[in-house]
Amino acid sequence: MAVDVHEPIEVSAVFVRGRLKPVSFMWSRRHHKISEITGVYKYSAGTSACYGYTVRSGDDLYEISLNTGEMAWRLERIHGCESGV
Amino acid sequence: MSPAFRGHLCAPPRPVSRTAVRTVIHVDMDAYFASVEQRDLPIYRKKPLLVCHTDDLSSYRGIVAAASYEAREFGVKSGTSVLEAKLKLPHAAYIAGNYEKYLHNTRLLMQICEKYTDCLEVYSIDEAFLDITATAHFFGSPRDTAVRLQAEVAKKLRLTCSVGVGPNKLVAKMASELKKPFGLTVIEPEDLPGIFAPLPVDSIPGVGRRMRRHLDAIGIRTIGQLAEAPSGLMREKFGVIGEILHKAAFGIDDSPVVPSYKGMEVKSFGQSLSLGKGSADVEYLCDVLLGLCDGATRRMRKAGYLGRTVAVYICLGRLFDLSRRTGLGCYTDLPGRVHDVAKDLLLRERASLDVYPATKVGVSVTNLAKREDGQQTTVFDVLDEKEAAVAAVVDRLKNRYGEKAVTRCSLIGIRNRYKGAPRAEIGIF
Ligand SMILES: [Mg+2]
Repeated sequence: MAVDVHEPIEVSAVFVRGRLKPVSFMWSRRHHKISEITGVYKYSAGTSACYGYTVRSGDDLYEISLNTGEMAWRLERIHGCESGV
Repeated sequence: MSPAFRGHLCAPPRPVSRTAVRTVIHVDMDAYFASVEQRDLPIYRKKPLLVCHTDDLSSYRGIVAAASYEAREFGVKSGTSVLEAKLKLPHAAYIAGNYEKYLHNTRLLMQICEKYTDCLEVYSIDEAFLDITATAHFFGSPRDTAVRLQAEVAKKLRLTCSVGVGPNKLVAKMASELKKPFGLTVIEPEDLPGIFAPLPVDSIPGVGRRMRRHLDAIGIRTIGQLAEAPSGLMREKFGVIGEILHKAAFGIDDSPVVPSYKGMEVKSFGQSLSLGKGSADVEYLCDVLLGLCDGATRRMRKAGYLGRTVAVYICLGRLFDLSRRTGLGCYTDLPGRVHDVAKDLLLRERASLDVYPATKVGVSVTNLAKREDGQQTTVFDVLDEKEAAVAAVVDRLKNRYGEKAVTRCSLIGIRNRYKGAPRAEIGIF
Protein backbone atom coordinates (compact mmCIF):
# COMPACT_ATOMS: atom_id res chain seq x y z
CA MET A 1 0.00 0.00 0.00
CA ALA A 2 1.27 3.48 -0.87
CA VAL A 3 0.36 6.74 0.83
CA ASP A 4 1.06 10.15 -0.73
CA VAL A 5 2.55 12.67 1.70
CA HIS A 6 4.35 15.48 -0.21
CA GLU A 7 5.54 17.34 2.92
CA PRO A 8 8.79 19.16 3.70
CA ILE A 9 11.09 17.19 6.00
CA GLU A 10 14.47 17.62 7.69
CA VAL A 11 17.11 15.20 6.49
CA SER A 12 20.62 14.42 7.72
CA ALA A 13 22.90 13.39 4.88
CA VAL A 14 26.58 12.74 4.26
CA PHE A 15 28.75 12.88 1.15
CA VAL A 16 30.30 9.52 0.31
CA ARG A 17 32.76 9.43 -2.62
CA GLY A 18 31.08 12.36 -4.34
CA ARG A 19 27.56 11.09 -3.74
CA LEU A 20 25.01 12.43 -1.33
CA LYS A 21 23.70 9.78 1.03
CA PRO A 22 20.71 10.56 3.30
CA VAL A 23 21.16 8.84 6.68
CA SER A 24 18.09 9.86 8.68
CA PHE A 25 15.06 12.15 8.61
CA MET A 26 12.51 13.71 10.91
CA TRP A 27 8.89 13.32 10.03
CA SER A 28 5.75 13.47 12.10
CA ARG A 29 7.90 14.33 15.15
CA ARG A 30 9.68 11.00 14.80
CA HIS A 31 13.30 10.29 13.95
CA HIS A 32 13.63 7.76 11.12
CA LYS A 33 17.01 6.09 10.68
CA ILE A 34 17.67 5.05 7.08
CA SER A 35 18.95 1.49 6.89
CA GLU A 36 19.19 1.18 3.09
CA ILE A 37 18.92 3.28 -0.06
CA THR A 38 17.12 1.08 -2.57
CA GLY A 39 16.96 3.51 -5.51
CA VAL A 40 18.14 6.91 -6.74
CA TYR A 41 17.20 8.93 -9.80
CA LYS A 42 17.81 12.41 -11.09
CA TYR A 43 15.35 14.80 -12.69
CA SER A 44 14.88 18.50 -13.10
CA ALA A 45 12.21 20.91 -11.89
CA GLY A 46 12.60 24.11 -13.83
CA THR A 47 16.26 25.06 -13.63
CA SER A 48 16.85 23.03 -10.46
CA ALA A 49 18.38 19.57 -10.43
CA CYS A 50 16.44 17.23 -8.17
CA TYR A 51 17.17 13.79 -6.78
CA GLY A 52 14.63 11.17 -5.84
CA TYR A 53 15.66 8.54 -3.27
CA THR A 54 13.83 5.42 -2.18
CA VAL A 55 14.99 4.54 1.32
CA ARG A 56 14.16 1.90 3.90
CA SER A 57 13.47 2.78 7.50
CA GLY A 58 12.14 0.02 9.70
CA ASP A 59 9.80 -2.13 7.63
CA ASP A 60 8.63 0.73 5.43
CA LEU A 61 9.99 2.29 2.26
CA TYR A 62 9.99 6.07 1.89
CA GLU A 63 10.33 8.10 -1.29
CA ILE A 64 12.13 11.34 -0.44
CA SER A 65 13.35 14.08 -2.79
CA LEU A 66 15.94 16.82 -2.75
CA ASN A 67 15.54 20.00 -4.79
CA THR A 68 19.09 21.34 -5.11
CA GLY A 69 17.84 24.77 -6.23
CA GLU A 70 15.88 25.29 -3.04
CA MET A 71 18.07 22.95 -0.96
CA ALA A 72 14.85 21.47 0.38
CA TRP A 73 13.93 17.87 1.15
CA ARG A 74 10.42 16.46 0.93
CA LEU A 75 8.78 13.22 1.87
CA GLU A 76 6.76 12.24 -1.17
CA ARG A 77 5.33 8.78 -0.51
CA ILE A 78 5.40 5.88 1.91
CA HIS A 79 5.09 2.26 0.81
CA GLY A 80 4.02 -0.65 2.93
CA CYS A 81 3.07 1.59 5.81
CA GLU A 82 1.87 -0.64 8.60
CA SER A 83 2.70 2.23 10.97
CA GLY A 84 -0.82 3.66 10.78
CA VAL A 85 -0.15 6.65 8.53
CA MET B 1 31.07 8.44 -28.57
CA SER B 2 31.29 6.24 -25.50
CA PRO B 3 34.65 5.16 -24.06
CA ALA B 4 34.01 1.48 -24.77
CA PHE B 5 33.21 2.17 -28.39
CA ARG B 6 36.17 4.53 -28.76
CA GLY B 7 38.43 1.83 -27.37
CA HIS B 8 37.84 -0.29 -30.45
CA LEU B 9 38.72 2.41 -32.91
CA CYS B 10 42.23 1.09 -33.44
CA ALA B 11 40.52 -1.32 -35.84
CA PRO B 12 38.81 0.70 -38.57
CA PRO B 13 35.09 0.13 -38.97
CA ARG B 14 34.20 -2.13 -41.83
CA PRO B 15 33.06 -0.22 -44.89
CA VAL B 16 29.38 -0.90 -45.40
CA SER B 17 27.95 -0.66 -48.87
CA ARG B 18 24.42 0.55 -49.36
CA THR B 19 23.39 -2.91 -50.55
CA ALA B 20 25.07 -4.84 -47.70
CA VAL B 21 22.84 -7.01 -45.54
CA ARG B 22 22.00 -4.96 -42.47
CA THR B 23 22.03 -6.17 -38.89
CA VAL B 24 19.60 -4.49 -36.55
CA ILE B 25 19.07 -5.07 -32.84
CA HIS B 26 15.79 -4.27 -31.10
CA VAL B 27 16.01 -3.82 -27.33
CA ASP B 28 12.77 -3.95 -25.36
CA MET B 29 12.74 -3.63 -21.58
CA ASP B 30 10.64 -6.28 -19.82
CA ALA B 31 7.54 -4.95 -17.98
CA TYR B 32 9.54 -1.74 -17.76
CA PHE B 33 7.75 0.56 -15.28
CA ALA B 34 6.77 -2.35 -13.03
CA SER B 35 10.32 -3.77 -13.09
CA VAL B 36 11.83 -0.38 -12.16
CA GLU B 37 9.44 -0.15 -9.21
CA GLN B 38 10.05 -3.75 -8.10
CA ARG B 39 13.80 -3.04 -8.19
CA ASP B 40 13.53 0.16 -6.11
CA LEU B 41 10.68 -0.97 -3.86
CA PRO B 42 11.61 -4.50 -2.73
CA ILE B 43 8.28 -4.99 -0.90
CA TYR B 44 6.62 -5.39 -4.33
CA ARG B 45 9.03 -8.03 -5.65
CA LYS B 46 7.53 -11.37 -6.68
CA LYS B 47 4.03 -9.88 -6.20
CA PRO B 48 1.39 -8.64 -8.62
CA LEU B 49 2.18 -4.94 -9.06
CA LEU B 50 0.26 -2.54 -11.28
CA VAL B 51 1.73 0.81 -12.23
CA CYS B 52 -1.23 2.99 -13.11
CA HIS B 53 -1.83 6.07 -15.14
CA THR B 54 -4.45 7.79 -13.03
CA ASP B 55 -5.05 10.96 -11.03
CA ASP B 56 -6.52 9.04 -8.08
CA LEU B 57 -5.38 5.56 -7.11
CA SER B 58 -8.29 5.03 -4.76
CA SER B 59 -10.72 5.44 -7.66
CA TYR B 60 -11.48 3.09 -10.54
CA ARG B 61 -10.40 5.68 -13.11
CA GLY B 62 -7.38 5.38 -15.38
CA ILE B 63 -5.49 2.60 -17.05
CA VAL B 64 -2.71 0.18 -16.18
CA ALA B 65 0.53 1.56 -17.64
CA ALA B 66 2.55 -1.55 -16.74
CA ALA B 67 1.85 -4.86 -15.04
CA SER B 68 4.48 -7.03 -13.37
CA TYR B 69 4.81 -10.57 -14.71
CA GLU B 70 3.12 -11.83 -11.54
CA ALA B 71 0.06 -9.69 -12.40
CA ARG B 72 0.07 -10.76 -16.06
CA GLU B 73 -0.62 -14.34 -14.96
CA PHE B 74 -4.08 -13.10 -13.97
CA GLY B 75 -4.75 -11.58 -17.38
CA VAL B 76 -3.98 -7.98 -16.45
CA LYS B 77 -1.62 -6.18 -18.80
CA SER B 78 -0.78 -2.63 -19.87
CA GLY B 79 -3.81 -0.92 -21.35
CA THR B 80 -6.26 -2.75 -19.05
CA SER B 81 -8.57 -0.31 -17.28
CA VAL B 82 -7.98 0.15 -13.55
CA LEU B 83 -11.60 -0.91 -13.01
CA GLU B 84 -11.08 -4.23 -14.79
CA ALA B 85 -7.73 -4.76 -13.03
CA LYS B 86 -9.26 -4.19 -9.59
CA LEU B 87 -12.01 -6.68 -10.35
CA LYS B 88 -9.49 -9.31 -11.41
CA LEU B 89 -6.80 -8.52 -8.85
CA PRO B 90 -8.36 -6.75 -5.84
CA HIS B 91 -5.38 -7.55 -3.59
CA ALA B 92 -2.57 -6.55 -5.96
CA ALA B 93 -0.41 -3.48 -5.24
CA TYR B 94 -1.45 -0.39 -7.20
CA ILE B 95 0.94 2.54 -7.51
CA ALA B 96 1.00 5.68 -9.63
CA GLY B 97 3.62 5.87 -12.39
CA ASN B 98 6.72 7.95 -11.67
CA TYR B 99 7.73 9.01 -15.18
CA GLU B 100 10.73 11.10 -14.05
CA LYS B 101 12.18 7.92 -12.60
CA TYR B 102 11.52 5.89 -15.77
CA LEU B 103 13.05 8.61 -17.97
CA HIS B 104 16.17 8.61 -15.78
CA ASN B 105 16.50 4.86 -16.32
CA THR B 106 15.84 5.24 -20.05
CA ARG B 107 18.71 7.74 -20.29
CA LEU B 108 21.00 5.20 -18.60
CA LEU B 109 19.75 2.48 -20.96
CA MET B 110 20.49 4.61 -24.03
CA GLN B 111 23.96 5.44 -22.69
CA ILE B 112 24.64 1.70 -22.60
CA CYS B 113 23.21 1.16 -26.11
CA GLU B 114 25.42 3.95 -27.48
CA LYS B 115 28.47 1.87 -26.65
CA TYR B 116 27.48 -0.63 -29.32
CA THR B 117 26.77 1.65 -32.28
CA ASP B 118 26.57 5.28 -33.26
CA CYS B 119 23.36 4.50 -35.15
CA LEU B 120 20.84 4.31 -32.31
CA GLU B 121 17.16 5.12 -32.64
CA VAL B 122 15.24 5.76 -29.43
CA TYR B 123 11.92 4.20 -30.40
CA SER B 124 9.98 4.65 -27.18
CA ILE B 125 10.57 5.05 -23.47
CA ASP B 126 11.65 1.41 -23.22
CA GLU B 127 12.63 0.43 -26.74
CA ALA B 128 15.52 1.18 -29.05
CA PHE B 129 16.80 0.06 -32.44
CA LEU B 130 20.55 -0.28 -33.00
CA ASP B 131 21.99 -0.65 -36.49
CA ILE B 132 25.10 -2.70 -35.75
CA THR B 133 25.98 -3.51 -39.38
CA ALA B 134 29.26 -1.61 -39.15
CA THR B 135 30.11 -2.27 -35.51
CA ALA B 136 29.11 -5.88 -34.66
CA HIS B 137 32.58 -7.21 -35.59
CA PHE B 138 34.08 -5.14 -32.76
CA PHE B 139 32.23 -7.36 -30.31
CA GLY B 140 32.46 -10.69 -32.19
CA SER B 141 29.23 -11.59 -33.97
CA PRO B 142 25.79 -9.93 -33.91
CA ARG B 143 24.76 -12.53 -31.32
CA ASP B 144 27.83 -11.72 -29.17
CA THR B 145 26.93 -8.03 -29.40
CA ALA B 146 23.37 -8.71 -28.26
CA VAL B 147 24.50 -11.00 -25.42
CA ARG B 148 26.96 -8.39 -24.19
CA LEU B 149 24.43 -5.57 -24.41
CA GLN B 150 21.80 -7.59 -22.54
CA ALA B 151 24.27 -8.53 -19.80
CA GLU B 152 25.44 -4.94 -19.41
CA VAL B 153 21.85 -3.71 -19.01
CA ALA B 154 21.18 -6.41 -16.40
CA LYS B 155 24.36 -5.57 -14.47
CA LYS B 156 24.20 -1.79 -14.55
CA LEU B 157 20.45 -1.20 -14.35
CA ARG B 158 19.46 -4.37 -12.49
CA LEU B 159 16.67 -4.72 -15.06
CA THR B 160 16.10 -7.28 -17.77
CA CYS B 161 15.46 -6.65 -21.43
CA SER B 162 14.55 -8.82 -24.37
CA VAL B 163 16.62 -8.52 -27.48
CA GLY B 164 15.88 -9.36 -31.10
CA VAL B 165 18.45 -9.43 -33.89
CA GLY B 166 17.48 -9.40 -37.55
CA PRO B 167 18.22 -7.97 -40.99
CA ASN B 168 15.90 -4.99 -40.46
CA LYS B 169 13.79 -3.20 -37.84
CA LEU B 170 10.63 -5.23 -38.51
CA VAL B 171 12.32 -8.61 -38.07
CA ALA B 172 14.38 -7.42 -35.08
CA LYS B 173 11.23 -6.17 -33.34
CA MET B 174 9.30 -9.36 -34.04
CA ALA B 175 12.30 -11.39 -32.86
CA SER B 176 12.43 -9.57 -29.51
CA GLU B 177 8.76 -10.44 -28.96
CA LEU B 178 9.36 -14.16 -29.47
CA LYS B 179 11.09 -14.82 -26.13
CA LYS B 180 10.26 -12.76 -23.05
CA PRO B 181 11.38 -11.92 -20.42
CA PHE B 182 15.19 -11.81 -20.75
CA GLY B 183 14.96 -13.45 -24.18
CA LEU B 184 17.46 -13.29 -26.99
CA THR B 185 16.40 -14.25 -30.51
CA VAL B 186 18.61 -14.00 -33.56
CA ILE B 187 16.88 -14.42 -36.92
CA GLU B 188 19.00 -14.96 -40.02
CA PRO B 189 17.31 -14.01 -43.31
CA GLU B 190 17.31 -17.66 -44.44
CA ASP B 191 15.45 -18.75 -41.28
CA LEU B 192 12.69 -16.20 -41.77
CA PRO B 193 10.03 -18.31 -43.53
CA GLY B 194 10.30 -21.20 -41.06
CA ILE B 195 9.98 -18.94 -38.02
CA PHE B 196 7.39 -16.45 -39.28
CA ALA B 197 5.06 -18.61 -41.40
CA PRO B 198 3.18 -20.28 -38.51
CA LEU B 199 2.79 -17.07 -36.47
CA PRO B 200 -0.62 -15.35 -36.38
CA VAL B 201 -0.86 -12.21 -38.55
CA ASP B 202 -1.18 -9.97 -35.53
CA SER B 203 2.42 -10.83 -34.59
CA ILE B 204 3.34 -8.23 -37.23
CA PRO B 205 3.77 -4.95 -35.35
CA GLY B 206 0.82 -2.72 -36.05
CA VAL B 207 -1.67 -5.41 -37.07
CA GLY B 208 -4.47 -4.85 -34.62
CA ARG B 209 -7.86 -6.38 -34.01
CA ARG B 210 -9.49 -4.56 -36.91
CA MET B 211 -6.93 -5.57 -39.55
CA ARG B 212 -6.87 -9.11 -38.15
CA ARG B 213 -10.64 -9.32 -38.68
CA HIS B 214 -10.33 -8.00 -42.26
CA LEU B 215 -7.61 -10.54 -43.04
CA ASP B 216 -9.55 -13.32 -41.33
CA ALA B 217 -12.51 -12.55 -43.60
CA ILE B 218 -10.41 -13.43 -46.65
CA GLY B 219 -8.99 -16.56 -45.03
CA ILE B 220 -5.63 -15.14 -43.90
CA ARG B 221 -4.78 -16.09 -40.34
CA THR B 222 -1.04 -16.74 -40.36
CA ILE B 223 1.93 -14.84 -41.74
CA GLY B 224 2.55 -17.81 -44.06
CA GLN B 225 -0.96 -17.43 -45.53
CA LEU B 226 -0.37 -13.68 -45.87
CA ALA B 227 2.85 -14.33 -47.81
CA GLU B 228 0.99 -16.69 -50.16
CA ALA B 229 -1.79 -14.17 -50.88
CA PRO B 230 -1.44 -12.48 -54.29
CA SER B 231 0.09 -9.02 -53.82
CA GLY B 232 -2.50 -7.61 -56.28
CA LEU B 233 -5.32 -8.78 -53.99
CA MET B 234 -3.68 -7.16 -50.96
CA ARG B 235 -3.25 -3.89 -52.86
CA GLU B 236 -6.83 -4.01 -54.12
CA LYS B 237 -8.26 -4.73 -50.65
CA PHE B 238 -6.09 -2.54 -48.41
CA GLY B 239 -4.27 -0.09 -50.67
CA VAL B 240 -0.73 0.95 -49.71
CA ILE B 241 -1.09 -0.69 -46.31
CA GLY B 242 -1.89 -3.98 -48.05
CA GLU B 243 1.37 -3.76 -50.01
CA ILE B 244 3.39 -3.01 -46.90
CA LEU B 245 1.71 -5.88 -45.04
CA HIS B 246 2.43 -8.27 -47.88
CA LYS B 247 6.10 -7.25 -47.85
CA ALA B 248 6.16 -7.59 -44.06
CA ALA B 249 5.05 -11.21 -44.40
CA PHE B 250 8.35 -11.86 -46.19
CA GLY B 251 10.25 -9.96 -43.50
CA ILE B 252 10.96 -7.08 -45.88
CA ASP B 253 11.34 -3.66 -44.30
CA ASP B 254 13.48 -0.90 -45.79
CA SER B 255 12.96 1.68 -43.06
CA PRO B 256 16.31 2.93 -41.76
CA VAL B 257 17.40 3.15 -38.14
CA VAL B 258 17.22 6.91 -37.66
CA PRO B 259 19.86 7.98 -35.18
CA SER B 260 19.33 10.83 -32.78
CA TYR B 261 22.72 12.47 -33.20
CA LYS B 262 24.07 14.38 -30.29
CA GLY B 263 26.43 17.29 -30.36
CA MET B 264 25.87 17.88 -34.05
CA GLU B 265 24.50 20.97 -35.65
CA VAL B 266 20.82 21.26 -34.85
CA LYS B 267 18.74 20.57 -37.95
CA SER B 268 15.27 20.37 -36.48
CA PHE B 269 13.22 20.57 -33.34
CA GLY B 270 10.57 17.93 -32.98
CA GLN B 271 8.44 16.07 -30.54
CA SER B 272 6.37 12.95 -30.92
CA LEU B 273 3.98 10.84 -28.90
CA SER B 274 3.21 7.14 -29.14
CA LEU B 275 -0.47 6.36 -28.85
CA GLY B 276 -0.35 2.69 -27.87
CA LYS B 277 -3.16 1.01 -29.76
CA GLY B 278 -3.79 4.09 -31.84
CA SER B 279 -6.46 6.72 -32.30
CA ALA B 280 -8.56 7.78 -35.29
CA ASP B 281 -10.20 10.66 -33.39
CA VAL B 282 -9.07 13.64 -35.49
CA GLU B 283 -10.09 16.22 -32.90
CA TYR B 284 -8.07 14.43 -30.24
CA LEU B 285 -5.08 14.09 -32.59
CA CYS B 286 -5.20 17.84 -33.35
CA ASP B 287 -5.05 18.55 -29.61
CA VAL B 288 -2.14 16.12 -29.23
CA LEU B 289 -0.40 18.03 -32.05
CA LEU B 290 -0.96 21.29 -30.17
CA GLY B 291 0.84 19.88 -27.12
CA LEU B 292 3.68 18.66 -29.35
CA CYS B 293 3.94 22.08 -31.07
CA ASP B 294 4.12 23.70 -27.63
CA GLY B 295 6.95 21.36 -26.65
CA ALA B 296 8.94 21.71 -29.88
CA THR B 297 8.68 25.52 -30.06
CA ARG B 298 9.49 25.83 -26.36
CA ARG B 299 12.80 24.05 -27.01
CA MET B 300 13.38 26.29 -30.07
CA ARG B 301 12.94 29.42 -27.97
CA LYS B 302 15.20 28.00 -25.27
CA ALA B 303 17.94 27.30 -27.81
CA GLY B 304 17.34 30.56 -29.70
CA TYR B 305 16.19 29.08 -33.01
CA LEU B 306 13.49 30.04 -35.50
CA GLY B 307 12.18 27.74 -38.22
CA ARG B 308 10.21 28.08 -41.42
CA THR B 309 9.19 24.55 -42.40
CA VAL B 310 6.79 22.32 -40.51
CA ALA B 311 6.66 18.55 -40.89
CA VAL B 312 4.03 16.23 -39.48
CA TYR B 313 4.77 12.57 -38.98
CA ILE B 314 2.01 10.02 -38.53
CA CYS B 315 2.55 6.33 -37.95
CA LEU B 316 -0.48 4.34 -39.07
CA GLY B 317 -0.59 1.05 -37.24
CA ARG B 318 3.23 1.12 -36.82
CA LEU B 319 3.62 -0.22 -40.33
CA PHE B 320 2.92 2.74 -42.49
CA ASP B 321 4.75 6.00 -41.94
CA LEU B 322 3.43 9.23 -43.36
CA SER B 323 5.48 12.37 -43.39
CA ARG B 324 4.13 15.63 -44.80
CA ARG B 325 5.82 19.00 -44.77
CA THR B 326 5.10 22.52 -45.84
CA GLY B 327 6.59 25.99 -45.54
CA LEU B 328 5.45 28.54 -42.98
CA GLY B 329 6.17 31.49 -45.24
CA CYS B 330 8.50 33.04 -42.68
CA TYR B 331 10.51 32.24 -39.58
CA THR B 332 8.78 31.66 -36.26
CA ASP B 333 9.27 30.01 -32.88
CA LEU B 334 5.67 30.36 -31.71
CA PRO B 335 3.36 27.36 -31.27
CA GLY B 336 0.19 28.92 -32.71
CA ARG B 337 1.39 29.32 -36.28
CA VAL B 338 3.22 25.98 -36.26
CA HIS B 339 0.08 24.24 -34.97
CA ASP B 340 -2.18 25.85 -37.61
CA VAL B 341 0.03 24.50 -40.37
CA ALA B 342 0.58 21.12 -38.68
CA LYS B 343 -3.17 20.71 -38.18
CA ASP B 344 -3.81 21.38 -41.88
CA LEU B 345 -1.26 18.72 -42.79
CA LEU B 346 -2.90 16.23 -40.42
CA LEU B 347 -6.43 16.95 -41.65
CA ARG B 348 -5.35 16.24 -45.23
CA GLU B 349 -4.64 12.66 -44.12
CA ARG B 350 -8.13 12.13 -42.72
CA ALA B 351 -8.90 9.42 -45.28
CA SER B 352 -5.86 7.37 -44.21
CA LEU B 353 -6.80 7.76 -40.55
CA ASP B 354 -10.25 6.37 -41.25
CA VAL B 355 -8.61 3.19 -42.55
CA TYR B 356 -5.95 2.86 -39.90
CA PRO B 357 -5.61 4.67 -36.55
CA ALA B 358 -2.52 6.75 -35.79
CA THR B 359 -0.23 4.96 -33.34
CA LYS B 360 2.28 7.79 -33.20
CA VAL B 361 2.18 11.44 -34.18
CA GLY B 362 5.03 13.84 -34.33
CA VAL B 363 5.76 17.35 -35.41
CA SER B 364 9.06 18.95 -36.30
CA VAL B 365 10.21 22.38 -37.37
CA THR B 366 13.13 22.53 -39.83
CA ASN B 367 14.87 25.08 -42.04
CA LEU B 368 16.27 26.71 -38.94
CA ALA B 369 18.03 29.99 -38.38
CA LYS B 370 19.59 31.29 -35.19
CA ARG B 371 17.55 34.15 -33.73
CA GLU B 372 20.74 36.14 -33.28
CA ASP B 373 21.62 35.77 -36.99
CA GLY B 374 19.49 38.67 -38.09
CA GLN B 375 16.05 37.15 -37.56
CA GLN B 376 15.21 39.16 -34.46
CA THR B 377 11.98 40.51 -35.79
CA THR B 378 9.92 38.16 -37.86
CA VAL B 379 6.64 38.79 -39.57
CA PHE B 380 4.94 36.59 -37.00
CA ASP B 381 6.70 38.20 -34.09
CA VAL B 382 5.04 41.35 -35.33
CA LEU B 383 1.69 39.81 -36.21
CA ASP B 384 1.53 37.64 -33.12
CA GLU B 385 2.72 40.13 -30.58
CA LYS B 386 0.23 38.78 -28.05
CA GLU B 387 1.29 35.18 -28.59
CA ALA B 388 4.95 36.15 -28.34
CA ALA B 389 4.23 37.90 -25.03
CA VAL B 390 2.26 34.91 -23.70
CA ALA B 391 5.03 32.53 -24.80
CA ALA B 392 7.62 34.64 -22.99
CA VAL B 393 5.60 34.52 -19.76
CA VAL B 394 5.01 30.78 -20.10
CA ASP B 395 8.75 30.26 -20.68
CA ARG B 396 9.59 32.26 -17.56
CA LEU B 397 7.12 30.25 -15.47
CA LYS B 398 8.45 26.94 -16.80
CA ASN B 399 12.07 27.99 -16.33
CA ARG B 400 11.35 28.74 -12.74
CA TYR B 401 8.83 26.10 -11.70
CA GLY B 402 9.34 23.27 -14.19
CA GLU B 403 7.76 22.08 -17.42
CA LYS B 404 4.51 21.05 -15.75
CA ALA B 405 3.99 24.43 -14.07
CA VAL B 406 1.61 25.74 -16.70
CA THR B 407 -0.45 24.24 -19.51
CA ARG B 408 -3.21 25.24 -21.92
CA CYS B 409 -6.78 24.83 -20.73
CA SER B 410 -7.54 22.90 -23.91
CA LEU B 411 -4.89 20.32 -22.99
CA ILE B 412 -6.08 19.70 -19.42
CA GLY B 413 -7.33 16.15 -19.12
CA ILE B 414 -6.16 15.23 -22.63
CA ARG B 415 -4.68 11.98 -21.31
CA ASN B 416 -8.08 10.91 -20.05
CA ARG B 417 -9.57 11.40 -23.51
CA TYR B 418 -7.36 8.66 -24.89
CA LYS B 419 -8.97 5.25 -24.61
CA GLY B 420 -5.91 3.14 -25.39
CA ALA B 421 -2.56 2.78 -23.65
CA PRO B 422 -0.51 5.97 -23.90
CA ARG B 423 3.22 5.73 -23.69
CA ALA B 424 5.44 8.75 -23.43
CA GLU B 425 7.79 9.03 -26.34
CA ILE B 426 11.16 10.51 -25.87
CA GLY B 427 12.41 12.87 -28.51
CA ILE B 428 15.59 14.32 -27.08
CA PHE B 429 17.48 13.67 -23.88
MG1 LIG C 1 8.76 -3.24 -23.12
